[in-house]
Amino acid sequence: MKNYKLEEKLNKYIFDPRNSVLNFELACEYFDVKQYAAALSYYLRCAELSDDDDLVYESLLLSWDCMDRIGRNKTFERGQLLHIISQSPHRPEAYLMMCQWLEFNGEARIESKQEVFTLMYTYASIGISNEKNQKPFRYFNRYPGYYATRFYKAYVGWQIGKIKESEDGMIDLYNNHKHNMTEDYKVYIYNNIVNLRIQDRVIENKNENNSYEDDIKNTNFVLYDKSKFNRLKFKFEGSEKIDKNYAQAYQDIFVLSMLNGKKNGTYLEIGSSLPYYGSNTVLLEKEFDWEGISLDIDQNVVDQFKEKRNNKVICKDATKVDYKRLLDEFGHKTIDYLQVDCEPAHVTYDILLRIPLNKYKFGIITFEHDSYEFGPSIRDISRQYLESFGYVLVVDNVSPLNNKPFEDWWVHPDLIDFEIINKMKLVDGKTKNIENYILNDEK
Amino acid sequence: MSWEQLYPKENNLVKLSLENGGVIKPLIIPNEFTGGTGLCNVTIFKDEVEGLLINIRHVGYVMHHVEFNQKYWGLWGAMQYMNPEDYCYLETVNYMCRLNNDLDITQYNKINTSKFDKEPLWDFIGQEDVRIFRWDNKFYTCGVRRDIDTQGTGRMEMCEVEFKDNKIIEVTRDRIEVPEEGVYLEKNWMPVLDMPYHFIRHADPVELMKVDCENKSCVAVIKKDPSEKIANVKLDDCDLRGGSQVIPFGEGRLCITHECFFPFHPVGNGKDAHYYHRFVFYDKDWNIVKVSKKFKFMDAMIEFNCGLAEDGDDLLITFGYQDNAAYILKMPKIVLEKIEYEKL
Repeated sequence: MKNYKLEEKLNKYIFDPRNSVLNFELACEYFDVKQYAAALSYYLRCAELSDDDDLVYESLLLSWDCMDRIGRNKTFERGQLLHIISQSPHRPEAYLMMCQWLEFNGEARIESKQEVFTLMYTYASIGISNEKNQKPFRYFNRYPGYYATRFYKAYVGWQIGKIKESEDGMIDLYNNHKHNMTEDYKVYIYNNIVNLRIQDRVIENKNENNSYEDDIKNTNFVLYDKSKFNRLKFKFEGSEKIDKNYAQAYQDIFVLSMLNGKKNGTYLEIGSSLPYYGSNTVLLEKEFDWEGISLDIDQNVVDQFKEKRNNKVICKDATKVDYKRLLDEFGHKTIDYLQVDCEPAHVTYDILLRIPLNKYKFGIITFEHDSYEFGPSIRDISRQYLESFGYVLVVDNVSPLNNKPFEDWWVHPDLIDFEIINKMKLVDGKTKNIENYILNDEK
Repeated sequence: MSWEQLYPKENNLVKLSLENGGVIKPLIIPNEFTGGTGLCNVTIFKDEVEGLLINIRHVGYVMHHVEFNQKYWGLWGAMQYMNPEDYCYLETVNYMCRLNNDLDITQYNKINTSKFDKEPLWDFIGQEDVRIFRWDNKFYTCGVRRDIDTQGTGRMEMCEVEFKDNKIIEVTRDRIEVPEEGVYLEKNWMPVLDMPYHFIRHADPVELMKVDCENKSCVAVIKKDPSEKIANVKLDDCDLRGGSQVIPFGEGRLCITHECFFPFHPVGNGKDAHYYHRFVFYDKDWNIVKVSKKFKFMDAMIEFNCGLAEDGDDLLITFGYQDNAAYILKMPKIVLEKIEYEKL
């Protein structure tokens, strides 16, 4: 429990508590250990005390970041961003934060979608006009670069009728700036190009082995079979009897690990897809006698499911299900496993919000955020949301490969053995190649 | 009055303590349990049975409070409690923690209050600003609760807690009614550690209450005349409000009190506050014999102490910072000789 760096910064602060830089550094130490309330107080002091406009600007951005991560009040956060913009209107970064705020919160708080798009377009345009004033931050890390604001302008431009400008913007970003971008933005932009049907304008670099289109299509599965048993890091009860699994990225093995091979467990599977291929629950049902409910929107999938599986499946739009009623009828006070996996990520998140987490606890939740495709926003807000209900993140940024973080895996500490949580927990912000997480090295 | 006048720079008790060999430690419970909202108003007790214990108040909000020139208000004012949008309550839960000799937390447990919890009827939920102590071989928390009626009537509640298999469980809950009718809010009573069931209700002029848990009542056993109020003339008319426990000290007793000043803002939500603290020494007959000048712990506008313990040559003092952070200070007793005192 000792935190030497935090104590060192605290001691420095004590001897000069009105030194803005020492306040900032202490705030950053609190931020590092996710004590956002404490960090907020010191960032605010730094902003009030400093004469350095850049430090004030960054402190205010970080104070907003603290509030956003804790997730208290979105209207208040918008006010914070407006203050930050007015403090340094010539800086580009806060305009991007405002675009992102509008993307995720605007519709619920502003009268019309078109007004939201127009506001986003306006903020993005001002941000772009100030690109030259971008400066490196000491600590704030939510501004990826100028291309992100350009992407927003192109993205919402289309929505407000600036079709050609939007298409040109996407193509320009992809053809001329992709080497400056993070992987997630490359994927967003390419997806938009595909949606706009302007792939013919893409100029691929012939020296690259794969185009991004190839990369996006490459959705690998990593499967378990008995030959890997000796490499299982956590040999739960019954694991020796498993011939093979079916989930895309070891979700079924993870669930059984956290519950030490529990028999007769329960699940709610939202976005079940096929009955065997890629199913997170078929192993639980067939070999561990679990009872559960699966939901899928596709009647063909549901028909196949009914033919091959015994547990209940419902054909319904998961965004319109009354989950309280469904779970009341299921008749279990706690449920061992919840899968939330629909497309796209914001729909998955909307579904998560509909589940009565205040009434029902789930031992394990696998939540698909597809951050490799849609960016970190849904992932981050889903984390805040699940943390607020007492869920503990056990594995972050799960990926079937090395570079496609698509899920977070959670547990509720009231329902899962503390020692197993400690044994399985790996949360470090990095993308996890899931086979490396579940299995030991081949040697 | 400018903020510099309100907020003198050189009255920082923690700094003075560190200069004299003291130690300051941050008190943290991981984000997985708190979601990163405020940890504050922490109390301490050196228990013969359980060792060194603290109780940290975890609040479900974040306090956004700007200090100094107050240039960067939040949306609604200089100071605001930020709750979740769909849950506008000021909710408190309490974490009992064990400390090692280095004053690091080695174990933390949320106090299990489920035996007595009922649907809250007011915006302030839970037992707030708890002090901890042992009387007659029973371990107690005592703090104000306001959630049992629709008006938010606040009364001190004394709760026995038991330590069982690494769990801390509230096993009794006694609300202390006061003799007078129509009193809206009672809080910050200071338990007198060497006098079981006695609390200082008012520090100046002293009002010492004896509590009868069985009958959920109390009676004043000492009530000094208002004319004896020290602060009236000598301390700028301030009110010395309750803070730490009252501990036996030398020939008499010692506690830490707090006092508030509320700056006026003509716009916004109008909320703002400055808190200061003082050491107050009583003789054995409950006369105030010495009062320190007011001080800050760590230079914040809002700091709040509710824990004091004697530990050899040191005092252990616990406090909250802006409702967002919690700290423990090991203060060598020699510091008491170096701080400034009021001329009484």
